[in-house]
Amino acid sequence: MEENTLVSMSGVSSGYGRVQVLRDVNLELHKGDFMAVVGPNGGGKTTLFRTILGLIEPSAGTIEVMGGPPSKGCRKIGYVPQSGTFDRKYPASAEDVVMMGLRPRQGILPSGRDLRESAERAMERTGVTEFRDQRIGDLSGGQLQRAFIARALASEPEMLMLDEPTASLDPEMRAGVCSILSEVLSEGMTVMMITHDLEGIEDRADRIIRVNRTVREVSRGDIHAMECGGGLL
Amino acid sequence: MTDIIDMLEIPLIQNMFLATALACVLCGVIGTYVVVNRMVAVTGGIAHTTFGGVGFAYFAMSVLAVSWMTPMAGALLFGIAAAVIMAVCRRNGELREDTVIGALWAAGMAAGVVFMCYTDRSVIVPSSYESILFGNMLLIDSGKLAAMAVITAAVLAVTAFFFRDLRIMTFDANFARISGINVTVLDLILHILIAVTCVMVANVVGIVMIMALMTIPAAMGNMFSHGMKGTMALGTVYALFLSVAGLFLSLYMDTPPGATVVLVIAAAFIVAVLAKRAASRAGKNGSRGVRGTRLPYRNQRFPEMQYL
Repeated sequence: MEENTLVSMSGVSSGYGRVQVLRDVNLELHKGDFMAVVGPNGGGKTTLFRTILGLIEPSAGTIEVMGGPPSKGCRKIGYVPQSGTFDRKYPASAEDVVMMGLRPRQGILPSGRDLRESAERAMERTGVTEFRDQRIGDLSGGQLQRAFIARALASEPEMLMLDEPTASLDPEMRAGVCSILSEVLSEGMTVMMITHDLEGIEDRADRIIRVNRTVREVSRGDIHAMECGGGLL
Repeated sequence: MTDIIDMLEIPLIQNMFLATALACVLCGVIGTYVVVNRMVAVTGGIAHTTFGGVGFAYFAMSVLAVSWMTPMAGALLFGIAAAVIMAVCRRNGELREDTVIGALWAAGMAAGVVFMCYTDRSVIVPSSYESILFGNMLLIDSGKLAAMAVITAAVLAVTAFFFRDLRIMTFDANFARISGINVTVLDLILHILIAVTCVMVANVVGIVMIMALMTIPAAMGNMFSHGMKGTMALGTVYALFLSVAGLFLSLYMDTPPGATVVLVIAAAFIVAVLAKRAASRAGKNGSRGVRGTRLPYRNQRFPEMQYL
């Protein structure tokens, strides 16, 4: 594995129980890459993420994340889940959510001042400071998504993985989230993002992969075909 | 009223109030995890399985002459066993969680009845199922109270130690795993904490009514608090206040204390729900209907994103 390769998958198959979702996946993600992940629903995009994050054990093949097994390497990854799946009645403020992001670095011990400052910085750059004390049930979809991005950034990760960060957001909220992402990208952060929003990513992503049972790199020409209804999604 | 004040000088009545206070603290803290993690059915299953443990303890004392197997110890044994089985089944996913809960719930009750059939009735202190199922706080002696105090301290210490990890796990289990938390072990610990709390609360309100004290005060706390600690604190305060009110009412009306406490808590819950609904309506009427916070568009690399 090259030094600047953060994720390396070779012949990886994975799924849930006897159901194999992904077959023979070969993929490398390098430092500084912005990789967009597209594909049809049920094609295995989220399964790919879960495999990289060590939440699913692959049934075949080898996978290395940050030079080690996914269960270790994933602690250096900032993960942003889909915000729509969370219990909005959970008693937590936006700040509480962000502070959870310190756990990968702090371990079980109380967080030190440097870690808290890191969380403060993450809240400031994502605009969470403005609503930090609000309960998550009172936040808009965009605000909650920003809180999740801040949570991912709080641990100062080497890479961000975002699962449809702009899904079900209205245009204004999407613009807010995209603005944060663009800033992160401009700093050279490695980003892997699941999206259905092809229109917005064609010129931005360094690489685009299409996941449908297996993984295939997609060229800009393919993107045009997708937009013209070529069925790649 | 003078009679009630006089009654407060009776040691058993004092024990009743102290035991209630200990149970309320646990209900406020552990009940919060039960409510936010939607584990009410799990709590019910564990609570009813402890009846098997109580029956087993009487059986062990009477037939097997095992003197140390007190009803509380038996209940702890069965409760923790049920908690472990539920946690393991939840993890494996081979069986539906509600199926496991239902099976343990019924089997625990049935085991209690069968064990008691083989028991010398003179050994059974409450002398009736009702006292075990619906509680009899007047049976709490100083030895039991001391045991409850030690168990309460232990549960609170474990909860404090794992507080942040429990919060992360109950909010987002996947993120907890990614963060390096051993979710399997922590979930098992949470189930065991619930089991121990169930046994504690059973001493106060009985097995059947555990769920009321374990869920309603914490649910009320969740309605009016922004964070986990606030929910726990409010849940404890509500549980304490309402339980003490229920105990005084039971002394005044000469009704079973456990049942009276539960009815007072249930009534307060209805009031809280109505109050929360009224407050929400008032808030909606007064709001401007705009929630989003505008961010400065600093995006220079992908300017077109601004117009999405």
